Amino acid sequence: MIVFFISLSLVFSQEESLPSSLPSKPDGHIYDPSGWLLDERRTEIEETLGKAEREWSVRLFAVVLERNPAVGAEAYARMLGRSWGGEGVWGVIIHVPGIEGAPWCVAERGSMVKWASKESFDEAVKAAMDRARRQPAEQLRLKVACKELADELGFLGLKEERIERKFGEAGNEWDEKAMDRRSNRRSRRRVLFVGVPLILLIGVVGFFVVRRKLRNRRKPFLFPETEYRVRFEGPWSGGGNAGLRFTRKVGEDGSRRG
Amino acid sequence: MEEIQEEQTIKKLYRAVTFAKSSIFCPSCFVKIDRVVKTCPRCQFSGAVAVQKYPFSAPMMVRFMDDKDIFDFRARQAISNRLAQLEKKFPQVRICFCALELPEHVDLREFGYWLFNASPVEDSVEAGKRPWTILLLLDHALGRVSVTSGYAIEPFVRDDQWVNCLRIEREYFVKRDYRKAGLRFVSGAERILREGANLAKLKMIDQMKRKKRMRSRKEKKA
Repeated sequence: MIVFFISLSLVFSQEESLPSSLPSKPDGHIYDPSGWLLDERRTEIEETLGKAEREWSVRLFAVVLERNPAVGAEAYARMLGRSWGGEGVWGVIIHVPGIEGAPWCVAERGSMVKWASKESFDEAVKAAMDRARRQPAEQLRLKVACKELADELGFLGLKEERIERKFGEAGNEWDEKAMDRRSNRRSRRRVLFVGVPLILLIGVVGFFVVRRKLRNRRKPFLFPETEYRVRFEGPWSGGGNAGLRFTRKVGEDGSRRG
Repeated sequence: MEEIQEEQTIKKLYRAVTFAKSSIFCPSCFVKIDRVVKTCPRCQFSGAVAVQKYPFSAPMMVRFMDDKDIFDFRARQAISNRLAQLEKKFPQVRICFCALELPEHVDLREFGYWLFNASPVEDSVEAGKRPWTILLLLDHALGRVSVTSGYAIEPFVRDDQWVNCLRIEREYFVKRDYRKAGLRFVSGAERILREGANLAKLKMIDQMKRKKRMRSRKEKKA
């Protein structure tokens, strides 16, 4: 019982002491209190990591420690990353000069980031570290690790962004098409609701009008009786001036001429 | 020429000028006359002159006056069928066809006037029909055709309408296709009569309205 309480208190005391032992976030992207990195490498790494943050919103930190942390390099890197990285995508590359297997790397995404799975992060980290560990020199190894991780995470982000954009565009397109379809259906329905009765009405009215006209046409018509304009002593007709010649005149010799 | 009997005179409901638009022409010299006259003021033409000019008896006014069978049996039958349709629509109207050969100097219109009036009227049926008759005269030898209409139908048709109708059918007269020409003439006549009927209806409505207005004015004054 006493042993349990002692161990529990040790755990709590350790956990409490951990954040206080974490160094504060550096101004740039490199934490190297011993100044192990050459200026040239430092500049190169800073540039690479700065670009990753600017272009892909990936916060990467290169940490150079004099000795291996007690909690283990990867666990320490995770603690640093959670402390410095914020809610976005972050990665911490820890290097301890002279220790075999360095550098170590951890990359994660914050709760706000929805893209990429844990597996894809792990794969990206593994690929970057594999390439870095192939390098002969230590400083070069760290530099390559930073570059590769930045590229991998950047690529992952871009890929996701592109997929999201495509999904978004496709969704928009689908939405537009659906809206078009819906409005077409609505207008078709409106046309049907208005058009069909209108056509029927026109048809019925037209039918009655035509029928009436036909009936009127067939119905006998009696001209009104009028006073006769009796003239030239003609009892039934006063003659008229409606005549037409449809062939040429016949000449005295019997020939026809116009 | 016979005089119109008193009982044969048709009820005088409307004055002819209410509907008539056709001018009066002398059937001999074709001078336009602006009033009803017994004798043409220009050529002194009258019924008596016509009788002297054509001192022979006129044939009976029947549907086809055609001794030489210019309108063959087929043509007569087709035209008669078409005429039966027309008479259903306009029961008062009768169309007669007369085919003959006349000397060059005889004008078809003048001859039409004489034939129309000189043709015997033997009963009241004929007396009732005659003023509503439209006579198509065809001189097949010289290629002439004319239309003469009776007094009753005259206010509803115009000479220029008949001329137009004949002009449209000219092609068939030229071809001597008298069946087609006759049929088309009947169709043309029906069109002219329909126009006249529509106009007459409008005028009658107009006159009725005017009378009503007059009556109401009188009542107001009273």
